[in-house]
Amino acid sequence: MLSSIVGAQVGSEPTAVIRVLLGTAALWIATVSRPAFHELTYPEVLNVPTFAFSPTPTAALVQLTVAVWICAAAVLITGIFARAAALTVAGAGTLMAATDLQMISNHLTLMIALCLLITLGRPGAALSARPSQHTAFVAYWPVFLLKVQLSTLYLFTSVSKINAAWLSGLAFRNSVPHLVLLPDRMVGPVTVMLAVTSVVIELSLAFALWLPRVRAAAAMVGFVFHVGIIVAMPPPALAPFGLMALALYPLFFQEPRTAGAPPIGDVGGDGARVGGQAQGQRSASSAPAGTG
Amino acid sequence: VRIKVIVVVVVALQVGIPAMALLREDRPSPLGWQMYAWPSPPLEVLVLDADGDPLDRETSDYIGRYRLEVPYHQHLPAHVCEVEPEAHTVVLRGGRPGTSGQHRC
Repeated sequence: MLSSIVGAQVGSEPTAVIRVLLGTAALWIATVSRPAFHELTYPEVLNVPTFAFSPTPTAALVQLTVAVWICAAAVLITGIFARAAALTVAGAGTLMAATDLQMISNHLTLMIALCLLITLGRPGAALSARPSQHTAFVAYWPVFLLKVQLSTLYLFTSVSKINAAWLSGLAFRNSVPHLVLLPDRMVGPVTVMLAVTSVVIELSLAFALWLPRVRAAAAMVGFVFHVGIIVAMPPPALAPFGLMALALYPLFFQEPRTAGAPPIGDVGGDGARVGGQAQGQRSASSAPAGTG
Repeated sequence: VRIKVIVVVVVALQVGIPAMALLREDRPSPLGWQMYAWPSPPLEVLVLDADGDPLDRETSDYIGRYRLEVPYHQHLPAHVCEVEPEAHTVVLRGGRPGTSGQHRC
């Protein structure tokens, strides 16, 4: 199975779409994180260093980190030097997370993880401002890792919610302002039902997106689920998380092609190749699609 | 072979890191994908002077971004005592389990 994953190829566009949406989410996260990051420089605000060697937050550190982050995210969207841009975004996010434990959030963690994972592939191979780098196909194994990332996210977020506190519906009563529209006697049952349903949906999505028979239905449920969270649970800071998760969905609809094609993904630079044979096969496979 | 090793290591990290976070006692834990899993009442900070009178302070005066993953009871009382010369007692209410309590400066 591992050999078939490593030896397969998929179309380059879905990964490029992820790159564009990830860059957009990164811009959003930088913007919403900056105020809290900056507040750490106030003497009355508590600092909780993530590590013993964490840097002290200063105004210069905050401004420089956010400025580099935003510039790199913009470059990532264009697809120029996509790997370097993704690594820079990941680095800026990691620096913020390493500065203070309070800055670590799940959407920051997902952003860093996806930035690192897309550097394993060729994120600039389509929809970029450098058409000379475009190819029709890219290696499947980085795409496989992106899919596993989404599934493990759904799996662990659902399993962690199987506890009395979550299943009581308390989180929905605290977070969903629209519930005030319900009669008092309905709030309890409705929030419990929402809590149980969310666990079932997330647990199902962890596996269903891999199954061709139910994939389309699962994607529809996932789309409604993420959009529902964004609409029902302000603030809009939750939106980048949904954007990044949904950006990964098209990957599940790609059929990897394994017909004798050796791996064309590489761990080197954007233009690097793994061996002459791979280079030749990539050229051949790219030609019919007219994107070479 | 090198790519196979990368795939195996990355999948092990993708599964192993949140699995270890799930097994920790101080939940929710960072890097565990435990969004909203353990809802708790909001954290309140009450700062009392030597006469037992509360100072006019808000929790947001001391916390820029509140995160349930952070053990505030280990850090916040000492910080408040340091930045508030009038503080005599710091009272924490709410937050994740184990956070509530009184601390003398």
